[in-house]
Amino acid sequence: MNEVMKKTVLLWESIALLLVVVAVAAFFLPLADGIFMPREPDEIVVRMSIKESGGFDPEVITVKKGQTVRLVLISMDVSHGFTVEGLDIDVKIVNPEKKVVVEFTPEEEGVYMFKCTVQCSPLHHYMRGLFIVEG
Amino acid sequence: MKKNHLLSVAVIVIALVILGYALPVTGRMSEIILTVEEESGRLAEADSSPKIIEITAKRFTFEPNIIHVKLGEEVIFRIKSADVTHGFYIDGYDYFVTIPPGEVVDVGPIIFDGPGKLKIRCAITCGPLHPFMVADILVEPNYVFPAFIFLTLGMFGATTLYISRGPSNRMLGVPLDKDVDLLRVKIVGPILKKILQWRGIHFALIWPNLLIFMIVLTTAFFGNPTGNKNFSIAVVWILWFAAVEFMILFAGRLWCTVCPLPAFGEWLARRRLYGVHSLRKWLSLGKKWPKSLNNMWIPAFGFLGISLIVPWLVTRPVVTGFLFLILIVLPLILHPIFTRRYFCRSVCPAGGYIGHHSNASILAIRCRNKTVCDKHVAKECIGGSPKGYGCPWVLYPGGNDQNTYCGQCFECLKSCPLDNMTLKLRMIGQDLANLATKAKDKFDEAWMDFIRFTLVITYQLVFFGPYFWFKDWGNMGNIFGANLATIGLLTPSFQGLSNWFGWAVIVGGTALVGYPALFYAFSWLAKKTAGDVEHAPKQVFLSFSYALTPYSLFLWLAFAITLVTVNWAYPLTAFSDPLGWGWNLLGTRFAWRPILPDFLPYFQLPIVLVGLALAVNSTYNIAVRLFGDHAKALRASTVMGVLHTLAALVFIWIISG
Ligand code: SF4
Ligand SMILES: [Cu+2]
Ligand SMILES: [Cu+2]
Repeated sequence: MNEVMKKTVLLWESIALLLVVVAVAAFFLPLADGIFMPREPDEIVVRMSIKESGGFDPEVITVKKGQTVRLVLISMDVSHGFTVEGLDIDVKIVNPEKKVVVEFTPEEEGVYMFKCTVQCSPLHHYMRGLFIVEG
Repeated sequence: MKKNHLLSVAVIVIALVILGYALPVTGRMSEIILTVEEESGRLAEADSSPKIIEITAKRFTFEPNIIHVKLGEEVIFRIKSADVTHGFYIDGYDYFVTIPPGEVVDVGPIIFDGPGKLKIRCAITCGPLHPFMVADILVEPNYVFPAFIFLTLGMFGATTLYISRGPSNRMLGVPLDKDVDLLRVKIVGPILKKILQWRGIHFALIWPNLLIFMIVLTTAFFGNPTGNKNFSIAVVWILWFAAVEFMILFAGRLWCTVCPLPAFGEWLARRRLYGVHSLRKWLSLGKKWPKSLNNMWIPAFGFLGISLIVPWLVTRPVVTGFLFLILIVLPLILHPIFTRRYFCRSVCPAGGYIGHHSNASILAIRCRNKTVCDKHVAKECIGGSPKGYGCPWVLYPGGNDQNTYCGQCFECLKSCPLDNMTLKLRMIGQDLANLATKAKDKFDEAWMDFIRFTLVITYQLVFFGPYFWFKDWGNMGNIFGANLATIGLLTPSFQGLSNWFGWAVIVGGTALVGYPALFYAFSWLAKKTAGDVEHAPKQVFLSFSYALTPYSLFLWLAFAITLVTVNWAYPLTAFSDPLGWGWNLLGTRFAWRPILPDFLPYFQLPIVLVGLALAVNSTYNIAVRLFGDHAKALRASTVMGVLHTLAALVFIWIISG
């Protein structure tokens, strides 16, 4: 093999190696949630799973009084509901096929409870979380 | 003369097809006329209110699971859910209805104006087995089923008629001794040759799949626990699984060309990704593969084993994740020790059936001229050259006459200095007769056929049939999806385990014992009927089993189109949202909506019938080679044809009866 050929082979090997590294890096895809689903500053994404596999994510939602937030409700498995007791948020059903977005402006400080309102699993009644309105 | 055979058979087949398809239609017409006649009487009774059918949806079935309605009847479905929210969809009627628990939802009135079998499908994700939550609606009188039976028998008859004329070395009219040298086709040939001889081609083909594989692995462990929302399940078990069957038919082991699983092991053993490097050094010990494993027993049992847990495998990401972890670690260990593709030859469960079915493929890598190979002493295709490795699949490519163990890595195309290796396009089943008659003790290949053949029928029944108990036994009654974090949810109950045991006995028993025994009985009868005294029954049995290769491939194709046409939206969506977290990377989020599901049986039937014809014709070709006599072969293949027709009827019953 002459020098030129050696060089091109080496070039190809390096390109290939780089590509392998890129492919393997795809394993870290779950870490890129923020990159591939960027949230607006006023957006809160709530992922809902049956309680057995985690329930609400996040389980504590904190918002500022007087600031409008957009709650993006995504069901991960089966249909759920989303109700904040004592506040004007009551989403009857969130099907796994489609996300639901609700806009809400909290008027009063306080700690509220939100829960799932659609029978979704044996532990359905434990599927709940805290909705905190700060001053 | 030969042309005439073909023409007459073609005419018969076409006439049968028209007749068979016309039957349900005319049936439907007469029924409509009837209903019109009845209408006046009905009006007099003032009883024109639609019939109400109550349905309870529950994970993962509808009750009742088989619903009979009359042709032309007006029906309202009154549906409630027994557990979580379900959806309601009927093949061919555009209803996508949500059924939340605690509510009663009326759907309709619907007038069923065509005979046949339709499916109710769940339209809202309700848990892991959601894509397979179906029930049957039989619109009666069901003219479609008898028409399909008629067509199946007709196909058997037509094929038998065809072989009774003694077509020598032909498959359904196409000569088997002719093929097209793809690399010498005008314009395309030279380009293809350039591409395949480029050293980087193998890597370039593997790389995208490696990327997809890494996404599969990570989504399987960390993504959405619900199968149809997870990349690993949607892409592997809907897209890949179906695509591989088509690849086998059109391109042999092409999957093995592009497969990322053994790549790490192979790269490690070669210490090169692109270039050619001498083997037999550190990390490529070149040890001898144990002779007792040099067959497809492990792949055959591997595929059966996988199938025994298939209701879990194809619905729980984490189960898929562990399977693939095993399938990438194993070659990584085996490759440096044995240096060549022994994992692919004799371990990989996919490799086993892909290889075996590839003998029914229309593509093959063969030498142009055997004598050139025989005279060529250096034989770089075995030993390698600076341009290409010696066959990584441990074949002598120049003398190879079967696709089973050719991984289509194209190394021999590169290494052969005499330009004697090429890609050939040929008719399905070119090598079968030869292979079958040589199969003296290849029980492994016969059982691979039995397993694959019985399992395709099982799959169609389990996944798209209405019998919930069967699904549920296989599923161990579990209602949870699972990723790595929630893997504990898969802990089976005692009841679930014992049910699964029953399922395993039924599925495994049919594949390993029941059907092979039936096959043996028929082959014994075939031998007797043929009046053959020279061959051991075992030999006839093993040889005839090769006719199942094209047959089961076609049944798998029929299964694959159901899988894809019904659930295509899941894999496409998964490309945009691999983890099932609500991303939309590529803008390919699609709502679930089957493509022409009410026509599915009509698409599947011709595929099944071609499979049947191939099976009968292959049996004949094998028998001619074995017995060396047309009359004997004809009698034998007619007997075997009865068995093959019965199997087709079972499949037909599942899709239309
Ligand atoms: S045998 Fe299996 S691992 Fe090997 S290339 Fe084929 S599918 Fe991939
Ligand atoms: Cu819930
Ligand atoms: Cu459902």
